[in-house]
Amino acid sequence: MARLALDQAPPASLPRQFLLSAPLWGVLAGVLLLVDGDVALRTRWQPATLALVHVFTLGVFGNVMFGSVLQFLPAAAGVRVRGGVRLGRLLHAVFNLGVLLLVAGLHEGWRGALRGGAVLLPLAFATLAGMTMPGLCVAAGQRLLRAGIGAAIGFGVLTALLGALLALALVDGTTLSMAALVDVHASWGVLGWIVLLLASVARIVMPMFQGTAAMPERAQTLWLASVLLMLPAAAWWRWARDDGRWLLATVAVHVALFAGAALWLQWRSPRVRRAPLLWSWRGGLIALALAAVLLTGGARGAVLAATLGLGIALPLLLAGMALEIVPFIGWIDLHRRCGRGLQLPGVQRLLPDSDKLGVLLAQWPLLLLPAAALWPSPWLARAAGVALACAWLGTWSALRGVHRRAEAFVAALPQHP
Amino acid sequence: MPVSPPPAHHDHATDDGTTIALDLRALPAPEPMMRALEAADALAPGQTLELLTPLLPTPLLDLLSGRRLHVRAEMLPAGGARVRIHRPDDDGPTGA
Repeated sequence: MARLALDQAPPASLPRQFLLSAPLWGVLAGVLLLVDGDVALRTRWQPATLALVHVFTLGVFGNVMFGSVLQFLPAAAGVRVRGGVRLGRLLHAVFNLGVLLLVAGLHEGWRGALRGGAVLLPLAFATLAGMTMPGLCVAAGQRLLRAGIGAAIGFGVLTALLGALLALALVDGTTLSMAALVDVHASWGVLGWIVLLLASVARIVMPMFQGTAAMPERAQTLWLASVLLMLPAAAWWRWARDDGRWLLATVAVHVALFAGAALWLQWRSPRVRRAPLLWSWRGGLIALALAAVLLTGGARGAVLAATLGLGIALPLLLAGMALEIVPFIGWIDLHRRCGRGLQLPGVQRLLPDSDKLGVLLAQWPLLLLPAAALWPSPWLARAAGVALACAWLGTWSALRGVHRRAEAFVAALPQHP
Repeated sequence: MPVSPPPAHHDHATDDGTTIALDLRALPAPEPMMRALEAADALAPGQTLELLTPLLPTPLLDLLSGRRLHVRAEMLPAGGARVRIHRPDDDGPTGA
């Protein structure tokens, strides 16, 4: 069974390609904020705001999540991923081109770009589902994990389809109930795709990497069932009754429950591993819980929640994991290339904790983001843009350092393998 | 302050000394993978390594497949996996 999964798994370079693309999108987010200033942080309906939000949700989080799913499913869940190298590389190209077109279309109002994004992005999500869903359905064990990841990918596909519909409506000026559809699209994307995937994977990776206890199976099952029940029901209520309170409450409550439970696990575990990942997740979870509370605070509260949740909380959680996954992939790659009989550098030497800590410290200036949303001014927003670009440049440099160190080790060998 | 990971539970349990058992389930990632590979590389011809790991270690199985070892993995009902790695008599511990 294990061998079958390996034969079909994409190579390690594929998840790495996605994971290394994410920080570059983060740098672009900083540049956009630098260019657009406080216009991007005043209301959710500005073209600059829509472009910035999708740079984060698709460019940064999408790349990390696609890469993590492709790495995690065969490595930790014994799930066979279909498609191989060619389809994987095509997926990376289609997805990132789709994000670029959508962001350009939203920012500049280019109709052709919006149409391109509306075609390519659902195609990319459907391809990810095609590569992973058959294996998720037939794998043995880890039922709760597979159910959570499968549901998250399903919500990802639905979110992309709704987004395509909205992009095409923007192009054609169709009189759709835009506000209701945008609310459903945003809530399914944030809770159904991003937080659901995070929570499902967290149940495995928090004990593995942070030394916490695992979330009790019964609690996780109840949370998952509640998300699966409430998200579609509240979306229907928003659409049919023109009442968004249930949808807002569904997102806020489930996000707060996830963040609160994960923080509780971190605090109560006696053998917690005090490493940068723990601090990264602790900061991210606190910011996420705060964002969930702010979400219920009207239009200004929603913008503040978005800057906190999308700009700080989710990046801390996702980039924290990327800083663990990329050196692990690099280490496996090194073993494949060098074989046995050589003393190879350990995972920690490929990306030392000091580098991870540096990346984490570089996130502090990102508090300028909520500050710029609270007190909108051009210079504060531009300062936040600079902080954003610098923080993500630091993350990219740290992740690239893994490759640099591995290559330096290989180059120092008497005979290159 | 970083804390050192708990030691793996070693148990050299067989009568003839040819089987080495390692319980890696309590170690933080990526320690189980690193220690398992180290122990597999140190196996003498005819020796067997029996590992208990927190998850089915697919990347480990992938790496071991290129090392002329006999590997068998099974999921455990209570979670985690048992991996048996055997080095045949005709292979050396440090050969490529």
